[in-house]
Order: sequence, then C-alpha cells, then structure tokens
Amino acid sequence: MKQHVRVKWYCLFVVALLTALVGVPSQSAQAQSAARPEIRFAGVIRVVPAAPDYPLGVWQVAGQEVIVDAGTRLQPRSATAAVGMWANVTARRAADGALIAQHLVVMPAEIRIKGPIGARPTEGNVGEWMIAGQKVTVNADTRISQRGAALEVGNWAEVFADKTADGLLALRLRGIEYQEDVEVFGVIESFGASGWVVSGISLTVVTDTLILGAPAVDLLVQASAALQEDGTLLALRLKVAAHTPEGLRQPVSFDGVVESLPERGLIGQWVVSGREVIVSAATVVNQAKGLAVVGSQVHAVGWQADDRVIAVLIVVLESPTPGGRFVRFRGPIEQLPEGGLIGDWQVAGRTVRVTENTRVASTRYAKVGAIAEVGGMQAADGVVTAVWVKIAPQFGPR
Amino acid sequence: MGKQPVIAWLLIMALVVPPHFVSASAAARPGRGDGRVICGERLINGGFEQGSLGWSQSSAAGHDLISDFYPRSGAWAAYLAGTNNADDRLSQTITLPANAISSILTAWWAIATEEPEVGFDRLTASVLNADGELLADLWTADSSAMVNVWAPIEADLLAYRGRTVILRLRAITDASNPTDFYVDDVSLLVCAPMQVVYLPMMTLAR
Repeated sequence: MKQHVRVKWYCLFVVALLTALVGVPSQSAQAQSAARPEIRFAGVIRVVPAAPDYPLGVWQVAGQEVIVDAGTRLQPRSATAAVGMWANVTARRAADGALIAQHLVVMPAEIRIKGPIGARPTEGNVGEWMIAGQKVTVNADTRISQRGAALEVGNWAEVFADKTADGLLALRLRGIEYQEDVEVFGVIESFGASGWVVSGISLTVVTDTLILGAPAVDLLVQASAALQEDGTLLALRLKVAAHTPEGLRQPVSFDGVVESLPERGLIGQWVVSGREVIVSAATVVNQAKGLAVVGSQVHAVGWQADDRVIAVLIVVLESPTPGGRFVRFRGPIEQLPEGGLIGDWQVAGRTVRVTENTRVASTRYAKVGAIAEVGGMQAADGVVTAVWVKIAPQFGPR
Repeated sequence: MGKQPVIAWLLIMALVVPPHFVSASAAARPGRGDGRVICGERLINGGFEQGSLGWSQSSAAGHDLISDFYPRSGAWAAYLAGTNNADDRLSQTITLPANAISSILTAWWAIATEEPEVGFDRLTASVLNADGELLADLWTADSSAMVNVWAPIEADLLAYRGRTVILRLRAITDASNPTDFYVDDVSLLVCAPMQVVYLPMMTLAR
C-alpha cells in the first residue's frame, strides 16, 4: 500500500516537472508575445507569394518584408491579392527581426479625394471634371451617387479613382456636404521639406503642416489640405499610415472632458481630462456634434511630445452648450460687422455669428457680395454660430 | 403463412428537399439520421441582382436601397443611408427548418463616410419575430470602420430553427456628417439531415 502511494506521488512529481519544463516557457513566450508592441502600416503590395503557396510566404508591403503564416488573419480570404494593390498590415517583430503578420487587409488601389467641384461636363457626366483642383476623368463605367448632394459646380464630391497613365479615372463619384478641408488619400510617391507627391497629386508642405507618422515611399497617407487660389493644394495635416513602437512621434488617441481652453480662440493649450493638449491652426477641431467649450466631451488624436499631446484632430462628442443642428450652406455675403470679422454676418439670408473660435479662411476676400461657405451650429432662433467660414475664391467656379 | 404469397414492402428512400435547397455540391456531408446532410440557401436574392425581389425596404429619405453604385460582386448591392438623419431598412422573412443543424448568416459590408474616425453612424443586422419585435441584434458596424474595404459578417441563426423570423439590416445616421453603408452577397446557409421517408408499395398476390 505504502509503495503504491509512493509510486503515485512519484508520477505526480514527474507530471509536475514536465509541466514546469514545457508549460512555463510556453506561457512565458505567450506573455512576451502579448507584451511585444504591434507594428502597423499600410502601403502598396510589391511582392505576393505565388500559387500554390499563396497566401503563405513572404509579402512585400511598402518596402517591408512581411511573413504571412497560418496564424495570419487575411482579409478578404476570398480574393487573391495582386501586386499594386494596397494592404493594411498589423504585425509583430520576431526575435530574428522578421515581421510576422497578424492581420493583413487587402484593399483596392483606389485614390480618394474629397473636394469642391471646380468644373464638370455641361451635358451628362462623362468627360473631364475638376475636383479639388485635380483633373478627373469620368467615363460610362463610373458609378455616380447624388444621394448626399447634387454633383454641381461649387458643391463637393468624393471621388474614388484609379491612377492611369492619363491621370485619374473615376470609378465612383458621390456628392457630399461642404467640408472644411480637402482630403486626399493615396500613396506617398515622394516627400520633402517643401512638398509631397501623393498618388500623382502635389501637396505643398510648410512649417505649419502637421505630420503624423514617419513618411516613406509606398506608404499610404491621408492628407488634409486647403485648395489655393492657383489650384494647388496646401497640406494642413499629413497622417501617414505607419506606426512603429520605436518610432518618433508616437501616435496617441483618447477621449476626455475639456477642462480648460485658451483665453481667446481655440488655438493654444487645452487641458483634456488632466492632459495638456496643444491645438494649432492646422489641428482639425470637428464641432459637427457640438461646440468646443469647457465641459465638452472630446475624442483627441495626435502624438505624444514629452508630457503633452500635439493634436491633429479633436472631435467634439458631446457639448454642454444648448442644442442645435450642424448646418452647411453656401451663398453671398450680404452684410459684415463693422470694424472686423468678429460679429454677426448675413450670408444667404441667414445670420451667421463669427466668434474668436471661428476659422475664417481667405479673410482678404471678405466683402459684401463675395460667396462664402459656412459650417456651424444653428440654434432654435435660426442664428448660426460659425465653426468655419470659407470665402471665394478658395473654392468653387473661378 | 409460409405458402402465402409474400407481401413485400419495398423500401424506398425518398429525399424531401426543403425549398431553396439547391446546393448539390454541399450535400452528402456526414450528419444524423442516415448520415447525410443537405445544405441550402434560405435567402432570396441575397446578392440583390434581381433588384428588390425578396426584400422589403423602407427609407426615411425615400431612397431606393438597391443600387449599382458600389457592388462587391455582380452589378447591384444594398446602399443604405448616405444622408443625415437616415433610417433605412431592408428586411426579408425567412423560415428556418426545425431540424436544422446549422444556420449561418454571412454578408459583406463597406462604408464611405464624412465622419471623423468616430462611430456616430451605425449599421445593424437583427432578427425580429414575425410581428416585427426585435429578438436580437446579430452584429453592428459603425462609421469608425476603414473606408472602402469590404469586410465579412458572420452570425449563427440556429437558435431560431423551427421559426419564421425577419432578418433586418438597418442603417441609422445622426444629424451631421452622413455615412454610406453598402451590403452585398448576403447568404443564409442552412444545413439539415436528409429526411428518409418509407413509402408503402402494393405487391400483387399470386
């Protein structure tokens, strides 16, 4: 009996020892793997494994070799990726330095532009359009939607396009509401201190341009820009689709409550749930859901600089200011306040209240009779507190 | 009794195939009963190639929700919302066989949006009872998703076997910055054991 018990204990000991030898390192490896920061980037696919191994093997995306193995979540699985398409990669770096893809999303190589329609064919939709200062060809295969807005000169459109030898060919074109800034989403073809080229579209870069992420050729980038009088695009923000844990300018995003704002206007230092947030002229402050005031709940996106956050985007989620609805409209300036731009304007028959927080673009064109686009919160009494005002000729027909 | 003409009963296996069960290639998988399972599509016109056939639609703004603007495959897809204060719904009534052993809903969706990285606008796939009361939300997408990427949905509807229910897609947008929601290639693949039916056969006496 005693011997039997002894054997039992011996077996348990052996099992425990084996568990310790095999199980513990495995758990430790898992813990290390879980703790290892993710690398995320999106760019052009240059190498895809050939059949019959596809999708397993080495891919090259935005100049980086990425290993796709059985553990990689590939989306979509039903279609085969091809060289020239785009991919969004989430990966971890193995001990030997190799990038192991955890999630890889294959996307069509479609350039996206949101901007004002400067010109369009007079009859039908087929022909040459000018959208955000770019020539875009619409053919019989282009899909059109005017659900969001009519595709008229002066209105805004979003185009999904292929880059061809002849320029941009529209695959889909849809009318959208007036926006504060032009947007371009495409591939970084070149970048420098004074200008970037994104999918063939030139963007002027100045010292005030906010650049989030480290640029590289073949990475994707979302650019916000202002359309200049000469038809060029001035980059306000360049958000590169790349995040490496060891890189400079670590991206950060968080939700919080605005505890303090600059004394005048929105530019300067904010405190959001105890964190210092620096807002510059290039920061987007999206107030479509409510005005930015102390007590507003916001979503902030930017990068960490020491103990401060340099904000690229702030979205007001909720505001304690009295309710209203966000409106956007366009029309002639009928009246301006005396002695400056702050005060009540009359635009297209509506009272537009311009405050220190209002962003007014192209102020030098502000005069009675000029055409203005307005985005702002309309109160019950009909007065629109302007979030932004843009004055021709920054947009529309020239 | 032994000299009596033998009355034989001939056993015939007959397959009773539920409506829309057309997937021959998916059949003959091991299962219960005689060991065979047959699978078939329960949704009508899940790719929207036949317009609104099989679907009922309502749109707060009065839009036709079947569109050729952005199909994932074929020439047509569902296009919900795209305006402020949208409340667009597409629904189809389905009956799930009581003996179903699996019932998987799949679909693909994509968005285009003016929202700034925040999920203010939503698309929800739900199951309602025959009276239109909500039984469950199966899945929700919102405007914070990656633009222009078709993503898959998968949901298990086996809990509703033996019932007639309504599958509903509903898109809601708020008062500013609208979102387009596109849906295509909706499928409800139901698998059930093949039914074995014994039919009596008359045999002539000598």
